[in-house]
Amino acid sequence: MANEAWLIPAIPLLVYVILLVAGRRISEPVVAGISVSAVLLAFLLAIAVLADVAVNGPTAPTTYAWLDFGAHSLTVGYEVTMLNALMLVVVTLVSALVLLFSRSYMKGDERFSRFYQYLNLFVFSMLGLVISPNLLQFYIFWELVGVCSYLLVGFWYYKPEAAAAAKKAFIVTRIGDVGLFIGIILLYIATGTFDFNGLYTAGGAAFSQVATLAYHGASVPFGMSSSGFITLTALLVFIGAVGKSAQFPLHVWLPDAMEGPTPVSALIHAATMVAAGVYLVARMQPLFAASPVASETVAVIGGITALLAASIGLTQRDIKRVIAYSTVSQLGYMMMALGVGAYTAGIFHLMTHAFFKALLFLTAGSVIHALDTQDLFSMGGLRKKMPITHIAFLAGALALAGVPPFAGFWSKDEILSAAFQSGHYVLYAMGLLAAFFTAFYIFRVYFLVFWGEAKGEKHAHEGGSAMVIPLLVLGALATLSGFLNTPFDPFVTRFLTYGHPLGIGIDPPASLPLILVSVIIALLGIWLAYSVYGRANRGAELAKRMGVLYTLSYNKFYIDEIYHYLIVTPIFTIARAIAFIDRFIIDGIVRMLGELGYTGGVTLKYANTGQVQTYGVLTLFGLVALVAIALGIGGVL
Amino acid sequence: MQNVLLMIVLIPVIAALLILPLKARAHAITRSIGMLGSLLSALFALAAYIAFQRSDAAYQFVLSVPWATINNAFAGTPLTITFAFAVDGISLPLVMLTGIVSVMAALRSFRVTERVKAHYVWQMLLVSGLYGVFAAADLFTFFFFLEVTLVASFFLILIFGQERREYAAFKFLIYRGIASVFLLLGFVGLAYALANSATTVSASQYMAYGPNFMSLNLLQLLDESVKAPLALGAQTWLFFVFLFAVLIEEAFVPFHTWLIDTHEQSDTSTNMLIGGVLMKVGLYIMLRFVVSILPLALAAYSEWLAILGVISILYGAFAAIAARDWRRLIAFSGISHMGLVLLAIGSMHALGLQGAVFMLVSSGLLTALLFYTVGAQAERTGTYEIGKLGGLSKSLPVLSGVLLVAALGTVGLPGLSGFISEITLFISSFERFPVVSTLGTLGMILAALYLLFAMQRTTFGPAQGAAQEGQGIARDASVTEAIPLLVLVAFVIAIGVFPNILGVVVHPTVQALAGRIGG
Repeated sequence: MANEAWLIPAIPLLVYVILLVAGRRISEPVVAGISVSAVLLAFLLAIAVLADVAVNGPTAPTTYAWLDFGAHSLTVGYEVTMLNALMLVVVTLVSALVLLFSRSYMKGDERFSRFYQYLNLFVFSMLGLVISPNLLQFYIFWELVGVCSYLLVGFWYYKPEAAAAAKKAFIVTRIGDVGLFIGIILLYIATGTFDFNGLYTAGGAAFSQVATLAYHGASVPFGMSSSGFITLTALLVFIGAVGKSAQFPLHVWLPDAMEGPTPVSALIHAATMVAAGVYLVARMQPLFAASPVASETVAVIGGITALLAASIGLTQRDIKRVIAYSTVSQLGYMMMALGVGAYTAGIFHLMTHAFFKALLFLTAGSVIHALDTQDLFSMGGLRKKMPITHIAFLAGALALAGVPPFAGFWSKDEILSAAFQSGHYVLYAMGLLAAFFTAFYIFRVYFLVFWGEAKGEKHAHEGGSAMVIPLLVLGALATLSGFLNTPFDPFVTRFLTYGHPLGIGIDPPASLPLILVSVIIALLGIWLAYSVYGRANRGAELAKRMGVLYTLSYNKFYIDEIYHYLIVTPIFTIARAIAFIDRFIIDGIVRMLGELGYTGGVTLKYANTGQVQTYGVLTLFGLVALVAIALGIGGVL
Repeated sequence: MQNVLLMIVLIPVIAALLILPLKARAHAITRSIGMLGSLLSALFALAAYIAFQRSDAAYQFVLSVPWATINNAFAGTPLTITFAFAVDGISLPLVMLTGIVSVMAALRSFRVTERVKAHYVWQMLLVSGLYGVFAAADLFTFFFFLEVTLVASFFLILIFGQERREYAAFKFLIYRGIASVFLLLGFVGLAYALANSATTVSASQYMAYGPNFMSLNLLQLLDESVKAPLALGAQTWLFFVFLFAVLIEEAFVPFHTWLIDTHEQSDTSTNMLIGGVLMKVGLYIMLRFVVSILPLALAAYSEWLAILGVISILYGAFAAIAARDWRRLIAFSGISHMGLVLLAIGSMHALGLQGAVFMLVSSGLLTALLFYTVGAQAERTGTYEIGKLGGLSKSLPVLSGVLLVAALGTVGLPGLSGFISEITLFISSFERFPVVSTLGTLGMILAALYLLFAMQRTTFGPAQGAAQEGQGIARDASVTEAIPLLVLVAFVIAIGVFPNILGVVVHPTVQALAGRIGG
């Protein structure tokens, strides 16, 4: 079955083409029907592929010639590894549910079929990225994922905020992409290949020695040391992941990206866009494993991001913005896991997070759909009016907060204990504090939205079955998927480490005291949220007491403003300066030369008087001058 | 097939001759002849692509037509001036590019309503000149057709440009005229330098050419330059003469201001041909004459090429950010992208040369597409000014969609033609100039900045300004208008997804060429 894995991305691509050609002529239910069943079919195929590799192990890449390239030939193709088999399942499952949800959410939108068209392209790009057997193809799909997210965030292009958010997402991730681009180029220069397998088998466990020598005989490019070169390329690759997975300092695009329709947010935050960066680091694990410096950097950036984003999430007023910051923060955990060497914990968290984050966004979408507002302080009392949404959100919130036995508990706890047991105590403490914040902010949302008094006149009610079914499925997954990888039965770990892939260690077993600490922290956060927002809204009081800390958090630490003054303004200043130089100095000189030629001509024309006497005198002068020169230089030339 | 190149070059001239005796008001038949002429030439170009021997790095379809003989031209031997044509894996893609863009420009010229006859006559001559330049296998032929493009473009700008057309046309003429002088100097120098060396070479040469021999034939000159390479001193002088000509022809900073005025003043089809094809000639000169015949000088000064390239990349990108007029933006974007090609040539590596050819073709298609799209928008809104446009997506979805594709292609999005060019040439340049190349990659970020800003300003947001006023009358692309858009987009995607349709042709030639420069 794994040999037919190419079908999985091909299906949404086919639907994309159909909608591109005939989308306008197909009715809404048919558009949605085709799309959902296609991705569902892809999901079933992915399950079959997963079952296949679980039994038979990963497949070798299938490749086709693509471009004659220097002394080499580039190929494209696909391969199924344990990691990407799991990713295929997660991506197709979450995407199918989001596509189904959009059926109701986008109902009646003028560009309904266009929306589904983009979503299919988005899913195709992500699936293509996942089964890429080489870095170049990976990068191609990586960029396509970025463009799809650009198109979808800016789907309501006539809204200025949406247009600005789309542009910001594209340009900020582009900065990361250029890092990855350079990293890929340097790896190619060193190894002469883009193939993941080529990179790894050439390098093996000792990636640092063999791979870099494969191409250049005995020398590493630019006269660098082998370890220095590995660190450099790993960090460049990581810059790409920082952009895509919204890690500090390139995290600023993701919270704004919620300007897109909510199902898009669910897709971007859960299954497609941001997962790509984490996947990249996981896929390049042997490279990172070969460089302690790069690994530490990944872990530290992850830890900073987790804490920073969580502390911003505490005070935001927009429901989607809180959830968006929680994504940034959770991605930080994943990076931290990969950085401290807890490979399977990172991937497992990617998976559980995909489920509960899609759930949170879709429930938020359901709430927004019902109330027509995103402001938390205009919401309340939805517990009774929207019981299914309420339960679903609660399951997602408990999973995010890390309360056992919900999914997030198992995966987050693995990460924290891996950080602790690998001796990263500061990171562990940061992760723990972020976990406390997380529990607080998500239950702040929960109490504000579902408890208290109903506000506004709009009659809130549940959406249709297309909106409810995805909530139920994801709710079940957010509740139960944690059991796929418990300390008692680490199924996912065993699966991912099938045949001991290179550079991947088995995570240490969890310890009971650490588990207890995490649980207590989570419950403390929830209790605090309950005491501030659950009984009566005493948020303003708390905000006043926190003073400057509140202001910093509410204003996102002014990072956007800092970037504006440090980066955006200088770029436009330079551009204006160059425009000035261009117009007035360079072209000014050009025009001056032109004027000189013209003036010279105009002046000389007065010498043409038409009087023979004048010509005669001038000729005489000329003759005398010539004779003088001839005598001066001693001879007639 | 032997005459295929002659056909390609002659057909547009014949079309021009057929148009000349027509009545000034016979618009329909004028347009048809112009269109048919362009199409027929392009089909012959396609035939050449199909018949081209892929694995062969040598010149193909060689044809030489003697024209005049000068007795006692050099040391008592005669010099025969010929019209000679041939293509290899570097020139064939550019002949194809000319074919594609010229047909689309001919379609675009359907929109011209004043002095239709003159427009088509000069346009046909410009197209013929462009084909001739790329298909030339002889210094004289090359120069002759280059001058044809100069004169034809001059009249196209002068007659059909906007209010400051005279200024722009003369600036164009003076700048490119100066470039031509240097090029002529370079050609004459090349012929003399290699003629001298012929006296000192092998017996077989002696048998073939006699004791003293001078030739303008490119194949013979290349042959000579391999068997008896020029000394570094001679190469250096010629290198600088050629370089100066190229810097002007290709509008590298600071010799670029003529291009900005030209693009701001010309009409759309002229801009497509100038920006899309003529602006690739300078770097073609670099590949054709400098890389192959003056490798020692190139090696000695390759760092300087890389630095000049990066200056153009960054200067062009920043100037594009500040541009308020779409045509100005496209012009600077073109300068920025041609800087990449110079950087690639400076890297002296087969991949760099391959990336250079890819970039010439890709940038040619995308520039033509951009000019076409903003021209069609300006026709409806009455302005090229970015600040006056807005929200066109609503009223002009097709044109706005194409503008999006063109912008993303220019930014270097994978799946479109720009990306494969960029990664190929950067792999080559990073190996030799890691620091300079890193600066060059900033151009990729800046390109995203200026293109997305301008594109979003034009098509996103609420309809406003000129778009709003024009909304009642504005119609999206008609069928004849949509064809060029779709064809150009199709080629941009085809090269992006299946780069080997270009790669199989380019690859053997650049591998062989790289052998000369030790790459």
